[in-house]
Amino acid sequence: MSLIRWNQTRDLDRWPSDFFGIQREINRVFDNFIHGGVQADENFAASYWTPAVDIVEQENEYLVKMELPGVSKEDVKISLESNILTIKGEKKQEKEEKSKNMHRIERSYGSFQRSFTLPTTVKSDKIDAVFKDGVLSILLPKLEESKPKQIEVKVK
Amino acid sequence: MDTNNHGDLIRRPSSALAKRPEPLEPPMTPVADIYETADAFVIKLDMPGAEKESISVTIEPGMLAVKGKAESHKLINGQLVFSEIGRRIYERRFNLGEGVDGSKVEAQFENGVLGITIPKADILKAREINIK
Repeated sequence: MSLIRWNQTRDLDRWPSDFFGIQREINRVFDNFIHGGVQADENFAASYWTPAVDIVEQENEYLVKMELPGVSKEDVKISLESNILTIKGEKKQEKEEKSKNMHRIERSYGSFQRSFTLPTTVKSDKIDAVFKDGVLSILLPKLEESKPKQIEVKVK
Repeated sequence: MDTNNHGDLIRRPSSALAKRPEPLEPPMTPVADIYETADAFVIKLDMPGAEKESISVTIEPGMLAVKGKAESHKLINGQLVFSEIGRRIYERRFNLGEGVDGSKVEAQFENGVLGITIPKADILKAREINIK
């Protein structure tokens, strides 16, 4: 069963103009249910906030993008066990912010953890990650045998 | 009227439809923290993936407007198998009170976070009063 998690950034004063966003969310849940594909294994108890993720399947690799604004790269850990990719870390509130007179706090702080089951095996020793403008991009190259192959069929 | 002309008339509305731009996704409101220091108000907005060149901070009378776009996904060729991020157009407005100095606003973008510092006007600054 899929649980739909609450997306703070998306839900913030967006209704009703984000009606299509809700529609997309429903489609996404159904797509995941029907086609299998990439599954998110949520660990609700361990997560204080859930960063948004996109996963793109390219010809030779998977690209996983996670939105982590304000998180330093030292605080992020990526691991791959069999074909389960886990990204975890912590978003720390800056010291100067903590001591100040806060008027509004909407941004999320604390630990996060998300795991994804990738549908095919990847080269675990060739994983590359880049952190730019608050977006973590992880490139997971596919194993040769899992790449799509073209088979020629001779018609007699 | 010959048949060619007729065909053109029929085709025209459909080609006009085909050229219609993609429906615009509504902009999203970036989440913000606002805090106060001794001499300024600071706004921190989460705008992950926004291109620095696309970000604008505009000061109007009594108003501060922030805009930005994250469109790096356009460069990616592939099939989206899991999607929560999508296209992001960031837009948010803040009301500015009279106690701020709109002429000296500073902004910087780092790690996907836009920080805006709005200095307080002199009337709002804490002052020490000399005792004679």
